[in-house]
Amino acid sequence: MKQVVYGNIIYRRLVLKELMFLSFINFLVVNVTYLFVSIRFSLPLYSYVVYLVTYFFILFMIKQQRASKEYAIFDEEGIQIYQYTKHFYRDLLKGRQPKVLTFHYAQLLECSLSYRKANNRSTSRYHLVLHLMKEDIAYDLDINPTALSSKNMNWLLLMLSVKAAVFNDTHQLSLCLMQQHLSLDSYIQRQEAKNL
Amino acid sequence: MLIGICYNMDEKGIDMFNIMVWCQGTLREQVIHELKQFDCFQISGKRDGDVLIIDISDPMYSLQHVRATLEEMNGSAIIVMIAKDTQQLLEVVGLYVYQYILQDQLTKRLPNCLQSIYEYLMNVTTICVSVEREKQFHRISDIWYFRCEDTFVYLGRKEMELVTNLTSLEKAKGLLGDDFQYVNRNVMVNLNHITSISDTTVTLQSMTFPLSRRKRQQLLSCMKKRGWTL
Repeated sequence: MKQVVYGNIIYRRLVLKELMFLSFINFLVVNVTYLFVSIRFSLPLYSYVVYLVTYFFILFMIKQQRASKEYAIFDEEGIQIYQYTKHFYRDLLKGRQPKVLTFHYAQLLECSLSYRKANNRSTSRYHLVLHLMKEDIAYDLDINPTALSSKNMNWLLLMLSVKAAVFNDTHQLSLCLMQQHLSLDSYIQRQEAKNL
Repeated sequence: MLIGICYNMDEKGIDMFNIMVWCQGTLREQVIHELKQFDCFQISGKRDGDVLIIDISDPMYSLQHVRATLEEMNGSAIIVMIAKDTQQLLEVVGLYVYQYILQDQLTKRLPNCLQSIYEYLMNVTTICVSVEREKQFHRISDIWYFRCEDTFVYLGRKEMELVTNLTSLEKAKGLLGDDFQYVNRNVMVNLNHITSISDTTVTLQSMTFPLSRRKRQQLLSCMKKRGWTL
């Protein structure tokens, strides 16, 4: 069965390996900085420990906040969304499994495609928002259109339009993504100019 | 000194959108009945239409017969497929098909589908600007230039110039495609309407704009890609 993965699948081993590498580089940075400072000022040893602990604590907190904690898998039967909590590293260290939300196409009461303005760190000016709703739960999946290849994006749109019981695309974004007459950003800007 | 001569100017205008209907019998009648509700679509027998409605359950238009033709049209025409069951529809992965409609859902889904296609094509071919607090839609191919003067952005067409609600040329550029390029920091022209380029000026049939040294190379490379002999 063909699958499209949006986001990076989180493997515990890989994340821990990446953290180890990051720790090693930053340990060197801390040591070199401390060495230069200690040449100029005579510092007690505990200041090194305080510096090291604070540096690493802040580093991991920032890294944890910025890490992508969810990914989605689209297949021919439905959409699975895997979510980790905001205490991402603690979950990985303790081996906790992510929360899985499953939306089967046949069960969807509402499925609509819209857009929202992306944040400054994104590679795209606008992100797609896939609103999914079934009996007990609703979820908005944020999709960066540049993160998926055009082939995968077409496959995803095909699945939604053929298999979802209801698929609303009020802004005709799927047409824009398929036909590529003009970029998604220009298309949305024209839509907004019309609504002003 | 004249350094460029245009020989390939696109004068094609789009008043109505061409639609190709590739189905037979009662299904064709149903489709044509739905199409009559839209004034903007005209049925075309040629293969360069904007929209294609095809019934792949019909042996004459089955995928084995038309796959090569569909692949040629892929991306240029908007394809709407009709079939008896979903299994047939899933065989066409790789083609940019906008909607897959089952035969029994045709009357329910086709009007909405055509409305969406119409809105999309309108959005692709026109832009909306507010002129004296009134919304106006202008075909992009009819616009000659955008000009900024004293914080006002003017839209130029063949024989008229309008003041728009836009506050900068950057905003106008965001609405337009690749057909528009800056010739200096205050003027952006439609490349399809350029008749000649000299060292210091750009001429659009009856108008002349100064060409800045910084934008000149950029403009010339764009025109070269469009088949100009320089």
